[in-house]
Amino acid sequence: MTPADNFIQFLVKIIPTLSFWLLVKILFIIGLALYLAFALIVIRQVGLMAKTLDGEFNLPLKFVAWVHLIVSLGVFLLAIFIL
Amino acid sequence: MPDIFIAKPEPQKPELEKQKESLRKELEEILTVGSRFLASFVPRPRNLRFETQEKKEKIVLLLRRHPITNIPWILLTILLVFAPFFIKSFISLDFIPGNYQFILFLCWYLLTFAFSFERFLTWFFNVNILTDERVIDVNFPTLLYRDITEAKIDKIQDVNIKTGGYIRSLFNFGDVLIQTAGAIPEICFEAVPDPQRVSQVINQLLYEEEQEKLEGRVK
Repeated sequence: MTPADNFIQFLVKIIPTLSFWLLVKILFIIGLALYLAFALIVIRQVGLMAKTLDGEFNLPLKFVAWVHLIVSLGVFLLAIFIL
Repeated sequence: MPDIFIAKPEPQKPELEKQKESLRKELEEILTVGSRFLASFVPRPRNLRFETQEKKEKIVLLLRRHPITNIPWILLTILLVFAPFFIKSFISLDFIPGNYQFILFLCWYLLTFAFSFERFLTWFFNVNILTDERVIDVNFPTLLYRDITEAKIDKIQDVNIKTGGYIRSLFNFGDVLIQTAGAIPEICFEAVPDPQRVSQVINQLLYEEEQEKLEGRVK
């Protein structure tokens, strides 16, 4: 049996034992983890854009991108603790 | 026997200087109008450099898409901001526990922010630059992907303007198509404000470049 088959069997066994809202919580956390990765990519992207066109407005944009990452991290942690 | 053709005497040096001076003045006049902050037509931008800029190269004009092209995503953002309140007033969300509602609400606004920020970044950094040496088109079509097209001024063969439709005519913006003799046959400045003026600037730069060539001052 391949590791993928093992994992699918594990999911088939475990999913019926989970409550609906716990499943929703897991989905929320996976989604927010992906969003966190996206927020990191945004920072990289703003850096790349600012390197291409170096102007006065780049610093506020970088700041906004970092605030966005911090807020995303906050929501991710909040989802883990309050859901 | 009467002369069929009499060649005009070549202009004297002071006359050439006068011509150049008047051209320079014309260019100055074209380039003096325009605000700077978050503008889409920025003549001689201060404190701005681009990655491949050479030491002596000067930016003559920086162009972005006309601000009116941002209206659709701004309206959509406003709609997305108010959507949860509309949904709540029409559909009862009592079946969702309060803490889940709260996280859902935060996620919604994170996504709305991400959408509008991405759109703004795309507008702000997708620029067209005219320098005294080159025309450059900077595009960021997707995340982390960059596409820079450039051509030397002396490689420009033709400049076309494309405008049409109510909105474009009303707000005076359109496409400027620059045909070149380089590896990239065409550079397109999309939806830039005042395409007529942009074309004038390109023609002036082309003329200046030709003059430099004639005088043997090509860099």
